[in-house]
Amino acid sequence: MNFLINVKNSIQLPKKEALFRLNRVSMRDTMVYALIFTFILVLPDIFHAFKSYQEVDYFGMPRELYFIQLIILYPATIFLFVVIGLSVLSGLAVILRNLLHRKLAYQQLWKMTAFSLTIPMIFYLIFRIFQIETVWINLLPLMIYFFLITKMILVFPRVK
Amino acid sequence: MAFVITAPCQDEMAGECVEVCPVDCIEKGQDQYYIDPEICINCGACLSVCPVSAIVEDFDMMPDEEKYLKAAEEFFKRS
Ligand code: SF4
Ligand code: SF4
Repeated sequence: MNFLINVKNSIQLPKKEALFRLNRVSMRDTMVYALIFTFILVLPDIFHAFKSYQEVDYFGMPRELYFIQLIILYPATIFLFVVIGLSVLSGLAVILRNLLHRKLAYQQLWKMTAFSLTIPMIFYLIFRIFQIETVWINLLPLMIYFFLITKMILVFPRVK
Repeated sequence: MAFVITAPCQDEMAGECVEVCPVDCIEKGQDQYYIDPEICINCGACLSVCPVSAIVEDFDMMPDEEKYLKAAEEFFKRS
């Protein structure tokens, strides 16, 4: 339920009310949000791999082992990359924050980054589901992210 | 509408909330931290970092917690 409330608020970003509601979410819940979102993101890949299992012989790998890899190890690995990606983008948000003269702690920017990636990731997911191969698959989500995070940082008053 | 720091802060006072407040409206008092209700923008950032859930929104306050809002107002009147 919390997840759905967070999705609803994330979609309303960069609105101030939504941002302030998301500020109240703990770091632990933010991680859970990112984890669930990662799982949704890799669903198309898992689905395709399930489908292709019948056709491809994975070096005689037992069926159970293959499915465990697919459902647990693959999302876990992607989640690790998501956390690294979030941390890098938050680092860039620190630069933006400095340029815009706002006081926002790194952990707060990390949280804002995690939630602001919801809309970009929905676009990314649509590209993946419909298997649209274009340079925009990475570029458009990034552009939306930088637009949103800049607007979100600007919600806070300038440091005096 | 503002945020208020209540009793659990008195046993903790590590100041995590000060780090995240974007408008620097949290200050250390004698026995606890205080939020300046005149400056607080209700962003909620402090709420999620307090390890003892000492921070409440004023409309969520129990009647016996109202004294903490008064104490905060007094504190910033003095300082
Ligand atoms: S984070 Fe909580 S306990 Fe720590 S100083 Fe702030 S209000 Fe007090
Ligand atoms: S709600 Fe925001 S502005 Fe108000 S005290 Fe907490 S961090 Fe500071």
